[in-house]
Amino acid sequence: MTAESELLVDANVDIGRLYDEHAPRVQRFLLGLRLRLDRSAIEDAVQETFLRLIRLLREPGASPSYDGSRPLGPYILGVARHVALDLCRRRPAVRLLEPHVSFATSGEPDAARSLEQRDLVERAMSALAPEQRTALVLRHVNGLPMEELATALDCSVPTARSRVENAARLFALELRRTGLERKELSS
Amino acid sequence: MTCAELEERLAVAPLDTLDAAERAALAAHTEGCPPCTERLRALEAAYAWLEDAVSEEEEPLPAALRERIVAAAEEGRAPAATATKKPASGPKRIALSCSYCHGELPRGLSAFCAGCLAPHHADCFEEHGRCSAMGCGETRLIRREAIVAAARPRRRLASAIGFAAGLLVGALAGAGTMLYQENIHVTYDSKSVPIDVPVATRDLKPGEVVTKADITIQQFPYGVIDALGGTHFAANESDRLEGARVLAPIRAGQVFQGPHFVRPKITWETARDPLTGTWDGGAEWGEVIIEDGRGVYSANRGTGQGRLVLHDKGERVYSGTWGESAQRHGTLELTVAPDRSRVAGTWRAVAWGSSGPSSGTLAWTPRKESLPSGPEPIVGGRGALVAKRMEVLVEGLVGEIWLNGLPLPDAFRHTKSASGDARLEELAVDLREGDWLVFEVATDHSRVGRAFFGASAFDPAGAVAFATRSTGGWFACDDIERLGAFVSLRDGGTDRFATAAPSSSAAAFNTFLDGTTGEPIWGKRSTTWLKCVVSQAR
Repeated sequence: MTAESELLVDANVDIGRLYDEHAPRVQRFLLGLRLRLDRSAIEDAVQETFLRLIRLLREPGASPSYDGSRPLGPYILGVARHVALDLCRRRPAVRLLEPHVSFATSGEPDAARSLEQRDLVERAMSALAPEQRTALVLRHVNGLPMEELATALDCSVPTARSRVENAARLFALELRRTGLERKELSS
Repeated sequence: MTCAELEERLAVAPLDTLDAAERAALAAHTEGCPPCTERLRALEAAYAWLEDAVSEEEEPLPAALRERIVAAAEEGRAPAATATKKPASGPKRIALSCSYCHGELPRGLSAFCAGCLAPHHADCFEEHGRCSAMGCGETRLIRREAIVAAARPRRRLASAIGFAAGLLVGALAGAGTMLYQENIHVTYDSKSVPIDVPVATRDLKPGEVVTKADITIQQFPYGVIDALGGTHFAANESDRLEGARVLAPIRAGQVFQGPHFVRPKITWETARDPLTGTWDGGAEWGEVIIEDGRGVYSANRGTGQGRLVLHDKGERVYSGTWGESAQRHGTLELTVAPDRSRVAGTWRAVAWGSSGPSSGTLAWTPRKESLPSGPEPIVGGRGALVAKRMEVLVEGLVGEIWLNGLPLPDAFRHTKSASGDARLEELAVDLREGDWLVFEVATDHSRVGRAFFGASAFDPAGAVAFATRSTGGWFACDDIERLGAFVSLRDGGTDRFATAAPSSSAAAFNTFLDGTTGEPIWGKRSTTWLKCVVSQAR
């Protein structure tokens, strides 16, 4: 998050520049959620994020508001988070597909296990509530420091920490439940 | 501290939120506790995979997206959602669905945003509190009664049947477009679900009348069509295509590059029935493959795009059967001019939709460059026998298989086993030198980069004659525009080799296909076509 922190909330924000800098991060965030969105859905969500951003920057009364003193990067990810949460609410929960291909019984375990594990990870992700997923992805995939995570989640730093840690605990629990750790251990 | 006490700390360790003291305590414990070390390693691997998956799927965003956003910022208001999805040219297909819940929106219930005219259920609009179109936010709603009352004096602009639809979609799609309502029948798994939605199949010139449209959607038996993002079809989660709504432009014969394998086949009749008129290679045509006096007409088999591929041996009258279903079964006779500049003939359909037997004549003048030139096409079965049998392993799905440009009948295909998303198929085919095989393969979008395809062909003695490789003999096509030539011509599209699938799949592949010498391959997209040209055993 660099020079954009000095931007003020006005109509002269260079959206093109903001887009160039932040759209890839928004995309990473959306992909990290493992919502099984196809390309056009990802692009739609990126578009919606920036259209909302334009509106939010122009209407100071809008919520969550941008106070101009904090870096814009995590704020934009916060907008993307709301877009993603809306998307989850609007779409019915995506039914989990059958477990991924398992060749595990056939002598050569490595590749098969890796495929299987990927599937387990996806399933564990999809067991998390959307709010938890977004926190986890912002922290891990987008690599936000705690202060920025707090901005993106629109809460205080201690709250952000407890949210993301709760998500991580559930994630670990879910991985354990679905057997990733057990398989790892037995190998 | 015990393992149980540290469990919570272990779970959050990969997120790097622990302070120095907590980290130290954890490190002190794991050092002397192999199970906890192992668990931490497994957790870290899971997190690493998540990052890898994102990196694998990351693609540059299209420039058009940036342009739309910058334009929206400049205008001070966002474009209507529907307008942004409009392609630059080509047939347009727009239907009504609620912008909020994406549910079906019968005309009687439709209400429109006062700002951008996005259609909503009135109660969805109220529930949302404002327009749900991207970037709109208008809070006022126009109800249908109000529109009809206001618009009635201009009724002469639209036909009675498509009046409401014409008004709405015309407003979205731009002036000069006349739209008509059609009855769309969506067939899925032998269920025919008529849905009554106003649809425009394409730009229609004033005076043209669309009378009927049939859409057949074939989906392989898994997956959520909803994952197409609502851009092409939206279906009930529970029942896939029941009540499906076509939401965005669809080209005739379009193969969807979605996460799942959807192949709509679209035919339509207009007052200017293309079969009785003059063809000009417009978008509604598929391909004709003619070989040894047999003509196979295949409409919109995912190879549309205005391409009529002739596979002939000079001037002669070709005749044969064409079509794939009862609806399209019929005969086709074609005469090809010596210079291949003109095709003329007659057709007779046993049944065409509900209109019963019919027949007509056709004449088609192809653009010259669309015809293959060069040496006489090679007909299969001439070279030395290379293999008697082939085994195909795919992590994903195999759709159509073409041998020497013709679809391989199901009778020659046998699924030996399936496990999860993987399938092992056996093909009972004689492969001779000069033959070419094309496989249509698809995978879930989220698994692109992990899917693979592998095959081994076995000679009469049972030894591997040849197998998939990324270094030669196997080619990939990801471009629907080039598919016609890729399938029907031996040398079509052989400028691009198939690429190696991720190395992680090689072990599974080699284990499953015993004794193979091949390596797993794939193209670039979730739906791709792979081809091998059989040469001497290698």
